[in-house]
Amino acid sequence: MNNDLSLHAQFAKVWDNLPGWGQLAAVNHTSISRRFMLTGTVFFIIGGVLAMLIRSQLALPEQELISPALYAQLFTMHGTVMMFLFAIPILEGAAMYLIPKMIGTRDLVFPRLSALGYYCYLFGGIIIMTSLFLGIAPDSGWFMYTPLSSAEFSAGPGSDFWLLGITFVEISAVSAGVELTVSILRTRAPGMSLSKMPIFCWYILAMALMIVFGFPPLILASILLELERAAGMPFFDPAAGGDPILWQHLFWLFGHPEVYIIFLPAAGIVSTIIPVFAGRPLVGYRWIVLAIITMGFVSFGLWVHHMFTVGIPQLAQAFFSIASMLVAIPTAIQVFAWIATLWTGRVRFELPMLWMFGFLFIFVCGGLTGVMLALVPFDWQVHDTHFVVAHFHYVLIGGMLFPLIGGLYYWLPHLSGRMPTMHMGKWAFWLIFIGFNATFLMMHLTGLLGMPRRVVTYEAGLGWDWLNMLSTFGSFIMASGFGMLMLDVILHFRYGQKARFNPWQADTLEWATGTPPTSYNFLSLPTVKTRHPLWDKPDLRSTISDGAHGLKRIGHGRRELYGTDAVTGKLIEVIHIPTHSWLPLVTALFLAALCISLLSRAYLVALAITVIAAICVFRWAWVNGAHKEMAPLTADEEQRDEPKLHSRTMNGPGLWGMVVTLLSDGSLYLSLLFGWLYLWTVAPGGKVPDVSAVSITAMTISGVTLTVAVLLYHRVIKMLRSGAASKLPAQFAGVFVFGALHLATLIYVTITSKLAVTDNAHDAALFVMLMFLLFHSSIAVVASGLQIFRAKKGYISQALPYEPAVLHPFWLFTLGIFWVSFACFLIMPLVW
Amino acid sequence: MNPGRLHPIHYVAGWIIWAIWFVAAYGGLAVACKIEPPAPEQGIFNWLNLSFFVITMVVFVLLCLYAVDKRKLLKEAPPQTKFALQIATAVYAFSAFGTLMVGLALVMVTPCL
Repeated sequence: MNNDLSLHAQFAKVWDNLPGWGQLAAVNHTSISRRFMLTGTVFFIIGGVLAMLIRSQLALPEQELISPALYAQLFTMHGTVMMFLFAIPILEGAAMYLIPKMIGTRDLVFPRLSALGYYCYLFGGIIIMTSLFLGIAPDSGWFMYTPLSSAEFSAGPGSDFWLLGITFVEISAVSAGVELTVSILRTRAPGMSLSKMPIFCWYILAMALMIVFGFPPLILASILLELERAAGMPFFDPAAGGDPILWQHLFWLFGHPEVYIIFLPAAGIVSTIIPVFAGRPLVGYRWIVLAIITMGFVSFGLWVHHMFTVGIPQLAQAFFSIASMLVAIPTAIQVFAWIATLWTGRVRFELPMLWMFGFLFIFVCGGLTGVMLALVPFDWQVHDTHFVVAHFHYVLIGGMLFPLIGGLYYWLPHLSGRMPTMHMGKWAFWLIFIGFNATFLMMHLTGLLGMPRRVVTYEAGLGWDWLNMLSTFGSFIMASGFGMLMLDVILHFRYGQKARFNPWQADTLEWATGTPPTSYNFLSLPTVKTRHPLWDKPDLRSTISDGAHGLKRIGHGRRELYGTDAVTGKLIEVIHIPTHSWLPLVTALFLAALCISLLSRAYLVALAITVIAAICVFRWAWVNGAHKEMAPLTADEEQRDEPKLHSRTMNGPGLWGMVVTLLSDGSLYLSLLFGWLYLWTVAPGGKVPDVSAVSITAMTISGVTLTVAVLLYHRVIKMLRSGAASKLPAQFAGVFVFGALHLATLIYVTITSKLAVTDNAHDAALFVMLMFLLFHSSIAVVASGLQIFRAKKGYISQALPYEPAVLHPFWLFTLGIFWVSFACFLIMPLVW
Repeated sequence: MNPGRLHPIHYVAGWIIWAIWFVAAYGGLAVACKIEPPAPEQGIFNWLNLSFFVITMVVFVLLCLYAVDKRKLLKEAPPQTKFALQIATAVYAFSAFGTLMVGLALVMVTPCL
């Protein structure tokens, strides 16, 4: 027993956060995810208060409680806060908390990235909220349509706050997407093949990949609009070859998948909770996996249904109308699977189940009005009315918030070690359920009666008066329900009954970590042979805690996880992850300073801060791999009874992280390519010049030197793979020299090009393309330069081949985008 | 057995093919309408709808063939690959259905209006 205690104490010493202010350097997933969820809750309260102000203004006709200018800021900020600062981050936080525990590991695979993501979210959110308190908040609606959000019609800094702040927050979302994807694919417990993975993990995998692909179009759109506002590049100005509809395409390319990014994790909560309370496995696991994959893809093919009224061709309307109906099929599969699970199980009506039933009722209603809106003639009638507002609140509150609260009650004993109270919980549910329906069911009617959304007031006698009054009354009932819910949760920390082990008799591994969990989740890592480990082996918790499973040695002082095969779950390596670090906080602080300097148009300051932030990032990269602070080579490591450390292989998580990041990067690049092709072929004044403003000869030289650099790098990788690597510093120096030549030529091309970036959108798009290439080439060259020194210091060698394998795809990507850009942006217009 | 037939890409390959068809169809129709729009009086019987129909059917048949291939493999594949093959079969079949559903609806519409 004493030995066991001492082992737990040793694990705690390695895994616990620093005390006091040192908590700010925490990278542990349990701490970071709790911060995500707490911060998300604060933003939810703020967003809720804004909603109450809106409803108060609309309670009676011709009211003047709020000025039109402030009202515009309120509805813009309500949407922005709820979508970007509450829904996505809180679900990511929940996923970050649960995923490692469910897949039987100790942490997420890139903990410092988790911490950076959190601080970017926090600082980005604070920056955006500051605008509201200063009275200069964005006021063009949460989807920021141009030209309303452009400099001409939104001259103040409101739009800039939105564009820069949201981009900052999106760094957080994409980093969480990368992190969750790689963690789910590479760190599951040994034996946990994809077919044995908890269904929640499938949902989160799909959500994470959708973030990876779905957020970059909006990041690009935000960059383009900010460049238009700050530097006069006319991407959305038809007079100069731009097109405001391009913004709508890019926004909804993100915006529609966003709805599913929010819905999928919530559906994952439902698919986790219903089987537990039905006391049987989920009906149709395979069908649900199929539905998740289908939704992940089809939801990207619906974005134009938000644009049915902008004047797009009839054929495109038919195209997206049918695709919009198609997505109802996988949704229906899930609903039927949930009903079948309830039907065939022995249902226990505990508190979380109330929220599940609320979800089923409200979400099905919202789904049905969604199918109505997919019908083009109906959409034309109700577009931009309160009917649409009612529809998406049914989908988002029913489809996301109800499951989230159900999940909160379900995992509350896990978070706090105490049970929620049934009595107050029921009151909270019924107040919210009744209040919600009173608020939004009425809005369907006001919408059908013609009330437009976003109007500050309305005339009396249009038939909207009593409906609006009832909506406002309902919203106050709902708000009191949320107050009750929060009180219940706060009180339970003190007065809730102590939770016993696995209080709901769940099947998934997170309940084997203890309630509340330790910082390392599992003292030993089990092998998982079934989809329901705790149902099949109820003693798993004690055997894990007794150290009866793998990776139980901690004397080395490293934080270690198992690395397994993405498909089969076969054990292949031990992954060592970083401990607490100040670098994420410091980097995020500099990025926040960058954001503020851009907002204040202090561009030289911004440039200096960018350099400092880049130094932080490269320092972060430096203390990795075999660095003495991480996992230096030791003489006895071959004698360990565990697989090799990942930094001694060429297939570690960093490689996977790089590839997933490049998928996101590729999505951004394809969005740019789409934007440029759109401006060329569809924009009313779109045209390309007869002569290229960029030197084709110099670009060719730049491309050839880049190709040589990549070939040299490829040779290094081949040598490392064959075990015949030698003189690595010299090899990297060769790559660096050719890479630097390429970069110098590219800089020369950019400086000497005769692009009229403020006169026409085409040249502005070419400029952005050149910046994109410069950004990637600079990183590749600097990283390879650092590798010269790392090879000299012995951090890269035949025994340590990991880092070149990680950078290799980046070089290939840089080469790929260069030649695609050369062909599409420069050659194609000349030969068309 | 060719290991490529059991590659995990088949979990999603059906929808990737569908997505490529979707982008090509949407973008291609827009470009075709810009360059050589069929006369409106031709109604739905014109070169553009015919080309679109042929391409749709080719993609549909390709996806169906993949679905049949995965279904056949189920009988001979080792047990640990059965889950992946079942999902792949269904994904190919669903994406074939999705292609047909969107594609056939479109050839019933007069283009470029």
